[in-house]
Amino acid sequence: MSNENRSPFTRREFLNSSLTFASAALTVPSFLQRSAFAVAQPEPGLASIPGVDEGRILVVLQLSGGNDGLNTVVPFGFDQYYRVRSGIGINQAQVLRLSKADGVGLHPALTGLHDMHEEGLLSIIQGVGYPNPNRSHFKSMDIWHTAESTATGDGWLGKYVDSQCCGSGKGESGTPDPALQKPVEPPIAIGRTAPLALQGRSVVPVSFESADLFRWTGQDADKALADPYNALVERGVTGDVDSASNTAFLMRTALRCASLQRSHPEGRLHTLAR
Amino acid sequence: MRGGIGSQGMRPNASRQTIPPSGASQPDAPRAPTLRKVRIDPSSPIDDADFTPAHARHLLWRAGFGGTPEQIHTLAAWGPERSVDYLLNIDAIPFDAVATDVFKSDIMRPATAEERMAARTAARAQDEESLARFRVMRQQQERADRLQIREVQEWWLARMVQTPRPLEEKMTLFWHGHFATSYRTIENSYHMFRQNQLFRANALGNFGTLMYGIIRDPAMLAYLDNNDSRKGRPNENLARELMELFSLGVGNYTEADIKEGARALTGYTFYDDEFEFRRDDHDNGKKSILGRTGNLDGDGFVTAILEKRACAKFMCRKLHRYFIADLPERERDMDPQAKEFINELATLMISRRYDIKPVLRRLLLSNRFYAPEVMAQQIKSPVQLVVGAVRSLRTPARSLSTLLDAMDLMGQSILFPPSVKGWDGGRTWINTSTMFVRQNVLTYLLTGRKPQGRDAGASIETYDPAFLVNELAERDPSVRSDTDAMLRAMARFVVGRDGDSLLAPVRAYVSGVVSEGGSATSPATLTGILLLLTASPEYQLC
Repeated sequence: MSNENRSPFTRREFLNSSLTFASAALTVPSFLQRSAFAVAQPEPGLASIPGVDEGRILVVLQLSGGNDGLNTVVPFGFDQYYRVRSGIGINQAQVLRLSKADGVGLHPALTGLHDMHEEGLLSIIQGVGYPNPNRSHFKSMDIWHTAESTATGDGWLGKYVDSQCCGSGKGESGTPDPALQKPVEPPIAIGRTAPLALQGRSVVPVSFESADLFRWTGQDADKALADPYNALVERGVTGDVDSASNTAFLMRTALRCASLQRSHPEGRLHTLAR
Repeated sequence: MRGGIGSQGMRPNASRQTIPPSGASQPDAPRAPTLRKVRIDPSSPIDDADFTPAHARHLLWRAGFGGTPEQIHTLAAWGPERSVDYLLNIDAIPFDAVATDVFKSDIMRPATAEERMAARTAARAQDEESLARFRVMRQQQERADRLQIREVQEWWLARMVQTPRPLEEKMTLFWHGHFATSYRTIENSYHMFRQNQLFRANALGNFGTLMYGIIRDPAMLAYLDNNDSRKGRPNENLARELMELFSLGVGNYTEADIKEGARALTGYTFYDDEFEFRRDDHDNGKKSILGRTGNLDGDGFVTAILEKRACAKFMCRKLHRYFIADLPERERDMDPQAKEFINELATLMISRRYDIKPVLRRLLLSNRFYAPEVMAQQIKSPVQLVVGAVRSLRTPARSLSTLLDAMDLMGQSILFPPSVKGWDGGRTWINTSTMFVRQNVLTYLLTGRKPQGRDAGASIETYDPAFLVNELAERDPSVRSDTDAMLRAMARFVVGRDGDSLLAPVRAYVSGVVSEGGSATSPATLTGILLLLTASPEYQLC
């Protein structure tokens, strides 16, 4: 996606139009293009609902690793599929057909997802990729996380959160407008580290495996340590420290830990984490 | 369990070696600091006269896992060359060799011919009872092996804590991160142990030897699927990572080199615990890799790599990142001095045919290594944090298992690197979650309180930091008479700095204790001081 394409979108428009970019702008086999259109038109319930509060929580699960896309979402209506997969193609009769898509269905084992799709609770976006895929295991993951073919810059979700907080608050990208800035919950990564996809410029993700760990245990040894500890970690970046140094980075992180603890007392982080 | 080097051969008051004046420098004529700054050549060796306890502390942290005050003072008295040579010449430091039978080699042994036959017969006869019995046996083996990998992890962690040759373990850890292989994929604890021994045996040895060794290493062959790589259907994983991650870096080879390299590695596999070259599976055709053409096998492939100057530069950049400081990924983004230094190291590495020791010696003695923007600016890995705390503060190691759990939460589970790329390190170690674990694991070491707050008191071994004060006072007697001098000396030792912003909260704590009638030097107060210092953001650096 180039910068010219950056015009204001609603979430619904974004979902629709991003499919256009994904399928039409890139070199992908035509049946993938068609299935992208056919399958993934979002139902009204999946995008913004007018009049309904947008303060919902978006949960993104990333399953890292390999997936045989063509035997997961099977283009059974296309002869080419059976030609190139003569031995491992899934028989038409076994494919779980999608009522809203022509010639595309799911692997027979995906009955749960199939039910959800038929109830309008599942949407599938196909054909997301770029020409001449980079085959380095690591570069290709970075490209995936940044949605940039150069694999540089912020993560795709990080950009989204940045625009939520520093754009107009409607999920539109563009120049940050301080007048419209609003506090947003930091994105939370359940895991040891936040993935690159979540790394933004303005809002830094919080990551943890268990919210129980969000507390310094040193104060249990001696209550008199609590105040000096707070003073120590709440210094922020002190004047004698180069703001680009690792010391400054650690001081900022410590300050964030301290403020997270204060602004999310008693289980707020637990709730978010769950 | 004590850090060894203080007690094994290194004595304080060791007579200072006579160091020949190096190059153009004039040790007898100290120059004005401003003048020095201009004249200093970052890649030139550090002057003997410039080597202070702060430099010795830095050397012990980077070329090892930190030292006690006594060790720091010993190295400071020795000067840079003797200190670096002491750390490098590991064979001169007596330490028990690793017995080869510490771990069981046959937990995951391959099935015998009889067993395979029995399984086939049962399958053919649809003998569900036998098949179920075989499955249970397999599960028992796997369970036993998972227990053993935990023992291997504990054994290595204990070795890092105890060794009088810290650089040997530090380099073993370097190679483990470089040729990263995870138990999670290969599920063979003995192969992980054997690979660890390969790294230890060549820790300060020769990079070429390691490259020829790694393409024969059962753990690596299984991890990158080379055991399935045959003529006609080569698997490219090992060939790709051999160049991308282990030796050349992106941009110094082509996709064609990968395809041809994969052919050269066909038939490289293992049986049970030993490497096997299967002639029938090997592609004997002509190959062209990195400009070298012929019927190349795995060794020919490695030789073609080692002949590239890009390989030496890649390895020197990696050593620079590990011991000195991060560098931009692309050479053209590096500042001219860094570029020149890497070039110089690479030339040395090639002239010494990929011996690691001369390169490390050059690196650890360079002014660049001791530059102010380098000292106390490396973010400690979880291993450095935990092992360094036990060794330098001489806390009890308490439960190795708990420490491994904490290291896992901090993002570094040894023998389980996240991918073949190893650990990214640097700032990626730090986030709001790991920060608390880092502070809390120090609480655990100092007090025995578990990182998670639950079932506290699991380790009741008490820790008395009085020895620290005693050792610090040996060098500076005012530590004993003046509380603030003590705090400053402790901060310099523990954190590597003694600025007022760091010390103010510590002073507030101590004066609070004293005003309530407590003592500034009681074990409880000294522990409190250490709890605060080790909870500071600056403590995460070395």
